[in-house]
Amino acid sequence: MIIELGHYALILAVMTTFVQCVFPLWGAIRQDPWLQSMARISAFVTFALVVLSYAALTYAYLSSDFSVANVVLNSHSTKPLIYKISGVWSNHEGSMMLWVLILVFFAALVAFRSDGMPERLLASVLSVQGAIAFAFLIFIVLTSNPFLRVGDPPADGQGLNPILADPGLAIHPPLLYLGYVGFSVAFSFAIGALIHGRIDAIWARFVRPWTLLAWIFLTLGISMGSYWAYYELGWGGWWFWDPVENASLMPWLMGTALLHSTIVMEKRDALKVWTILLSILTFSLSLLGTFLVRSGVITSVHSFASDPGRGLFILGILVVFIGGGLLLFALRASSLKQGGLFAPVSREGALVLNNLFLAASTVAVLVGTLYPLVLETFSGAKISVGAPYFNLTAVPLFIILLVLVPFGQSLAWKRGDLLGVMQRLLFAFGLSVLAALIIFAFTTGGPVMAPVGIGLGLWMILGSATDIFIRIWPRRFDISHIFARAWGLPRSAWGTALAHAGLGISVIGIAATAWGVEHISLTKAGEKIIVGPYTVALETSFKRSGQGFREEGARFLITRDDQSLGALETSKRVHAGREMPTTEAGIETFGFGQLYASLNEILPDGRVSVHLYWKPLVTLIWGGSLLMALGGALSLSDRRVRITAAERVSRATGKSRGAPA
Amino acid sequence: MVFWLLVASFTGFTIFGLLWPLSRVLRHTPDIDDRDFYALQIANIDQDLTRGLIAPDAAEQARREAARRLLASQSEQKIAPSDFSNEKRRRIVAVLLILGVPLGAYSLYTYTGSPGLPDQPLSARLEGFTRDADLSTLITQVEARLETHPEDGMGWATIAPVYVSTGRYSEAITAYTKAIGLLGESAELRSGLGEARMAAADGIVTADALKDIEKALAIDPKNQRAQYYQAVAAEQDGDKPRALSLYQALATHIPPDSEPGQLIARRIEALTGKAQTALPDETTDQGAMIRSMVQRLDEKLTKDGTDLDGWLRLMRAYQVLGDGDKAKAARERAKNAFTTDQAALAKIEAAARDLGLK
Repeated sequence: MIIELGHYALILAVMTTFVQCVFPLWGAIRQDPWLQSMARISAFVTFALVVLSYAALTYAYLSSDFSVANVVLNSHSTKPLIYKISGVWSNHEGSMMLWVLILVFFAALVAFRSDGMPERLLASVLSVQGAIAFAFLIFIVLTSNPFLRVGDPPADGQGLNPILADPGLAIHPPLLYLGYVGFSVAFSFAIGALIHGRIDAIWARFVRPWTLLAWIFLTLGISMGSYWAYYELGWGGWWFWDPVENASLMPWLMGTALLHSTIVMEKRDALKVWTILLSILTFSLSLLGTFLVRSGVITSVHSFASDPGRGLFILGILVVFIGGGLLLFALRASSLKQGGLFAPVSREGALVLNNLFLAASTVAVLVGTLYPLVLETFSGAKISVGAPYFNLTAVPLFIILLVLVPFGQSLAWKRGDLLGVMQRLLFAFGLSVLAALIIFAFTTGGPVMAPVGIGLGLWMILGSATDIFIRIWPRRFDISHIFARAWGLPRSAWGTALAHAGLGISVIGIAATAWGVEHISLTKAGEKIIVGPYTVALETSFKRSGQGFREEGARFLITRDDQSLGALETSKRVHAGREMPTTEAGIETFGFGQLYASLNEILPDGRVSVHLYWKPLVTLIWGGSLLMALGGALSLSDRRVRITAAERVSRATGKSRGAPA
Repeated sequence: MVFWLLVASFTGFTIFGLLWPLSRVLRHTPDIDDRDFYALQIANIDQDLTRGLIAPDAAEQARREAARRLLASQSEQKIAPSDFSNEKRRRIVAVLLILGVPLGAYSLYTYTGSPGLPDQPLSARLEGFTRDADLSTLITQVEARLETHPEDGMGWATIAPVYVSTGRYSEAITAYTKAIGLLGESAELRSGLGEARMAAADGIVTADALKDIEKALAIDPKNQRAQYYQAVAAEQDGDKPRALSLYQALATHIPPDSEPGQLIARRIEALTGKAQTALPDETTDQGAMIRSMVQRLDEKLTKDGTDLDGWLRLMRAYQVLGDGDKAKAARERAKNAFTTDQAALAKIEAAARDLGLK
């Protein structure tokens, strides 16, 4: 009965999202405060219903209820508890449920944190959120219903795809979805503003924290996904320019642009129309990503569900929301008041440049992702666009952008002093170039781009440090003064510096992959293989079985300068009821680098064919992105980004003081 | 009953929650607007100045900028005042909600849901099939032994048919192949391998499967499983007379009331075009139930024609129910659903031949 009630709650949510979409909007247009106030409560009711429904589905997984078709197909009674919980979103139906759960969670959060937001704007925003949720709920109920039952329950389920039986599954999709779906809030705000015909600094102040929040989650989601692919797929790479990866990179690039343009809008009341457009485009790219993954139009490690009927449905949703959003933009944008002007050389100017480069690189990625699809549709030819294309298009844009970042960070608002900024950054610039030259001189045979990349990364880090340094350094030297100023510096300034430095760290990690060493060896026990600075020797090969799988693997001993440094184990696993073996990579971290072993085959004569890599500084790639997310969080915690109760008190005082001015 | 009560209370609470704001007494609270915003900004600048975070001249400049924008926003038109008068609109909304939500939810739920179907958690069902549970531990034990003793031909021969019956066909093929390699050729293993190959190909006796069947017959022409699949192969090839004679030859050796005997009898009847003897009667409950099930399958496929197995089941169901026209129509519809998929078309044709559809 719990399951059927969960199903019913889901269907009631279809109704409540419809209510949430229609009536508050009617109220907003007709200026009816009663209908407007339905927005908040319907967002809460919808959230409660979807939570109930999601909980019922989770219960079905936990109790191994094989009268639910979705559980039969994706679960197994002997599955460990964590995979029963994360298994809920391991499949198409469940992941759409998670998508909607997060969507309505954000709507409820907007409603909850709406103190001080104009009622009419709130009603329009929640109405758009309701429309998105309604579309996806209908999609779930009609084409991807996880609550469908089977009359004659089988003895046991078919289990989870073994690649997904990993803690990564518990982390990566929810984070990614929080990011994707979080951008829906910015989208709803943009549409709300267009319906309103009003866009002001308050609007920007409300949009910014949501954008920042979504961006933090998306950053973490992409980064965790990359690390998961790195250790689970056993290919030794951390980014494959796979269409699905690109599908998450595009909203990230666009969202990063949006993040920066909302700052300009909030601080300087400029770039209004552009910000609205970016809000629409960022969520459009999130929807496009959902479409690419969920429709099965592309083949990749992620396409665990492919069904043309569903694809068509999502395509319909895509057309309605992207097309509708852009149409509304085209009709209403001209009626929006343009913002203030600024000199080209200024913080605003630099952020515009940032936006242009980010938008251009998004387009480059978009073309590389969609071109093969379009080509296949029209000519039937299957091509795959890989790293060489992206290295020639998106990567140069990234590099130019990275060179510019520290300048933008140090420029003043409105009218900047480029010469002054250059003087201040001279030290950071000189040091980075010097470091690159030294590295270039002392490494032989490596590619020329690697020292350049290291230099770029250092430039980002030192540039951020310079910015902070200049802002906290007093005119008269006094150590206590420095601490006071450092403490008094807005947290968003620290956040910016940390995020940019994090990006620099990631860039260093990426550049260092060029010095990676790769060996494919056919080796027998005791034979020494030199991998970078380490020596690896096969100790033994083994066969064993664990819960739900059998595996054969090999164990290697690691030494450096005759010092033993532990062991590496890599294996191939065959999971019960599945044909395809999965590769379990062996990874040992030394400093920031990693030794990575991936088993190819164990021959009958006991020799082992193995892929060995030494990846210097590779962990910096993910470490840097964690810092970026941390910087975002720091920025989000800046009280100036949020309107809180405390500020509303100060608003009252501000009024009396500000009015005469 | 309890279920519907709960459904009703869910619906009730939802409507109550949605309607609640309409009944409130609202007073007009002014929203914060740009004026408040810039006033706040000016206050912030003053604060920063007293804390020494900003130079006096920069503070003055920023304050002037904010003040300028504050003035600019004051000249802007105020939003139209709220409409407090329209009570009729609220009544319309209330009626729409009270009627629309239950009606919409009920019709959508009865369309997609299985009202009142109880949960069936595994723990509650376990007593029902302890045998199956034993089977899976048995499989695990044999697998573990074969892991360490892959030379145990008897082990492979034992587990192979179990794999077939649990639907793990490709593992069954591997197991049969290993058993044959270790134990040598036998009609039983060869015909089993053929059967596994056939099962893996969704019931089509492929060329590979037929080779195994023929090898089995070469070893032992009396092997009944091989004889049966030989007949099925002939039937799938469209060679009805040969299929019929093979079935009939087989039927003489098998007691007609045994399960395989009945199976063969049904095939013979299908081939000779005689009516089914055990046709479900529409007047009985069971007959009606079967017909409604078939009806549902038909509707489902009309909406979503991508389920090949569903089409094959539907064709068979209509043929078994004695409705040859509908079975033929189903074949045509299925072919329309898979116009470009050669493999699917071949399967549909094979199944149609299997059913004796013209």
